[in-house]
Amino acid sequence: MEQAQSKDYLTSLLNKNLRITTSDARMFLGQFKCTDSDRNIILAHTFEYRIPPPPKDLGESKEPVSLDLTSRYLGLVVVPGEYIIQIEVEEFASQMKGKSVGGNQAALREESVV
Amino acid sequence: MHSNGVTGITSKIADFDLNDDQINLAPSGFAAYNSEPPPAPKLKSAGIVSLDITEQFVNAAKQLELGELVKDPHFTLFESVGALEIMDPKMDSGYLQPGETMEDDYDFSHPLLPEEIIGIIDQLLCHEMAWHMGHPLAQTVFTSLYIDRILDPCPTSLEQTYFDKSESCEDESLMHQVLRAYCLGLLKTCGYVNQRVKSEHYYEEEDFVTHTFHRSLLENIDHELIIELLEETIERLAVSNEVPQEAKDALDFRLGFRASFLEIVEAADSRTSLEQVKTMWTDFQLLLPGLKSTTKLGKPVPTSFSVKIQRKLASTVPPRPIVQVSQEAAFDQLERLCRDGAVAVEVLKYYDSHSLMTFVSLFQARKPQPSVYIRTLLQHYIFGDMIMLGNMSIRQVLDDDLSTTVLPASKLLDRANDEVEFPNDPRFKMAERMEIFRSRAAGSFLDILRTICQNRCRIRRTLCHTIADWDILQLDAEELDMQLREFTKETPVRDREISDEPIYAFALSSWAYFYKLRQMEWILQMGFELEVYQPDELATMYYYLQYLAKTRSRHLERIRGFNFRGFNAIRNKKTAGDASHDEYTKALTFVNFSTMEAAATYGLADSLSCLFTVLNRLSLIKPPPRPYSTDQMRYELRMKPFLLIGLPELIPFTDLTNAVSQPSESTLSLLKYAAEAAIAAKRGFEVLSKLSAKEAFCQGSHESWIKNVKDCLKACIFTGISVAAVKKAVEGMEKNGSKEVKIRVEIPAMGKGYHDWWVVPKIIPIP
Repeated sequence: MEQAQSKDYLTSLLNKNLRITTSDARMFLGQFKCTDSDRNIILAHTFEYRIPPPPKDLGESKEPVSLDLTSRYLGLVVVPGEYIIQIEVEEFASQMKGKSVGGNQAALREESVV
Repeated sequence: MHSNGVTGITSKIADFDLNDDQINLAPSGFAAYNSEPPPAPKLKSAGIVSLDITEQFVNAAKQLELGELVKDPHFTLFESVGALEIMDPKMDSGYLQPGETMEDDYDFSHPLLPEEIIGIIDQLLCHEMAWHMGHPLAQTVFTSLYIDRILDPCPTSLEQTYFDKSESCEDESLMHQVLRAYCLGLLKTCGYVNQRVKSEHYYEEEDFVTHTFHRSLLENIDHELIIELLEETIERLAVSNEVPQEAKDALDFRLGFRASFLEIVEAADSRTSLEQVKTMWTDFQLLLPGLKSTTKLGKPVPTSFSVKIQRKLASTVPPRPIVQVSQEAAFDQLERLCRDGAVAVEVLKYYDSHSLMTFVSLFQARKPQPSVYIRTLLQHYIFGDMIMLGNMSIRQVLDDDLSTTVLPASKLLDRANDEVEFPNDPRFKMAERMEIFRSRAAGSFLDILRTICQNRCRIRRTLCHTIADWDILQLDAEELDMQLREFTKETPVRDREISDEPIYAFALSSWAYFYKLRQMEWILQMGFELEVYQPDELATMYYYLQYLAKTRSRHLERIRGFNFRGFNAIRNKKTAGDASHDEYTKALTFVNFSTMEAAATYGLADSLSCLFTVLNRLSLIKPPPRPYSTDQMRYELRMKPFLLIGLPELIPFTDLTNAVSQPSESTLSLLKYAAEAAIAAKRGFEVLSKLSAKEAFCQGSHESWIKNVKDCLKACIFTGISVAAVKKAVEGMEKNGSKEVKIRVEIPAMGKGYHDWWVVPKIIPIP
């Protein structure tokens, strides 16, 4: 991507809800406010979700997986880029026609979409 | 709801009033959190999909220049300073060390010894009192794993509160039941206390943290059920033979104590059962010695408390350590709570508006100040649901106050005026104008009471802010006074000695002026109490106090003149009933009382001002180094609350400096004057101390009022002694022709003098 394009792309994500998974298997869901070249990310109105270790037979199982996530409100947080292992953006399903769904975090994915 | 970042900061900025005496710089960790957070969004919802953009994002971010930001234009870097840094162990309460687990491996089914139960219960009591002292629940009560077990997940019935979730009602061990019943009682008590504090006026950063970190304090479980459980447990304990007698008694005490505590906080809100609530507090206090004496039986179980629980609580603040409060400190706090609670409820007994105000201000001046819970209870008793003391309208109290100061037996306060419907009738006009006045004045008047219910620093700070409003109120009232004249057909006084103009009473504005002066005096007096002024400023500040008190005294003289005139008029008529006779007597008594009080105040203030001037002259009080301040700037700072006040006029800087330093007077004549003023003040306080509760308008708090006057009297006598000691030293110096005075001065620390409002220097001779 070109530099200008990259900036536009990141700007287009501002104020959208991001789900950021960190290296300690927590996920933070909050409004994207700011980032920099080290992809440190500031989220507002953030909730923390603690993801229990994924069940081992996730790949084969046809049954929908339902896990209890414990969540709590944290408010404004900054997630340092070095700990980020996954970034997801929330979109409205109605506006998503034709776009493919990536990612492999079945545990977090909404069932009907998977 | 979503704006806590921004509102948090704007409220912080609003608090940065750098020109005030107390600057509020406390971290506003919880204030940014006043509203409950929204419920956690559902991760699975039909309308929302999430797309993995890790790669795009990372690549795009790489293209940014070092230091370049992509950010929401409305988001400021100033805000970002408040963000919690994830994975930083000091900031992120959810951060786990490598290998660390989220949960403590605590075995809730593990049997506990009776001694351990005592230990846990007593530790919980320390935590509860620490919360009352102002620490957040997250660092106190909520650090108990047993408490956490009960609250998470939020129980909706008692059956869901077992520690061992596999247990059923029948096989819960007695010891677990004791602990569970106690914990439930504790949480419910906290729930009531929190509810009370939250519904009144208090300062989260200074007084109390009502934040429950998104946990419910058993709002879903009925109070009766918990009391029943406590009682059942007491019975089960009594018939059990598995517990040694000594420990059994100790546990019994604790369960009984908890049940009583819970019942009190539930009943204390009632404004109709004064005697009952009072008895409950005093009976409750009798339980404490039993508790205290058996504490030694307890065996602490430190593993049942954990700082880790904080990472499960909704919190915008970094993790913080468990607060440690000693048993003694906890019992002290609890005992004071009982004592103050039993006194606070007496406010419900109404005598007159002045007694009410005396009661509240003396109650709040208790040392140490009553705890926040008691203070909010007091506010609830006074103002709850906008009904004064549970059964009076605000109008009743306000009219009562007006009639006992400036409007005794006045037709302006005649309730019959309200019945007149003919718009041209003067009574209709009077009622109408008085209603305007009431709607304007009631808020300001009640604010005085509300203000005195706050913590000491806040009282002064708030008075500094609201005093300007009283100046405007006085002007507005003056307007109404002039309009009302037409309807009351007031006949003015004509006294050629005073003025060629007719003199009118200006009753309503007189009233406002009186209260304005009172509050200005309080601002200064609280300044002494809170050690706002440096020792070398005391001469000036006491001079200002005497100036204000003297002004009040002269103003009361004027009010008395008009009251007396009205009184004579009805005495001659003889047609008026006894009621108006009584009202005049009461108003005259109040004016006399307040005059006496003002006289004693200005006498002592005058004496101290002269004494401090002499000490300044003799260089016995060393001004602290002030590289960035001048006398003029300090004058502006001290007078800031009064700058906007029209009456009494501000004394200009040079005039004030002259009046205080009195360069034309010799040191000895200043001391002579100080001694005389102290003697006059002493006489004044002596007379005051002999007044009955009715004459001194302190019904319901006569005892503390007498103590207060006696403390002033002691301060007065001590002033006389200090003046005499300085005089002797100065005379000695003059006799020997020496340049050195053989004394030194000690300013007593706050709380060490006889009265906080009277800073009396101690004179120590140097041999």
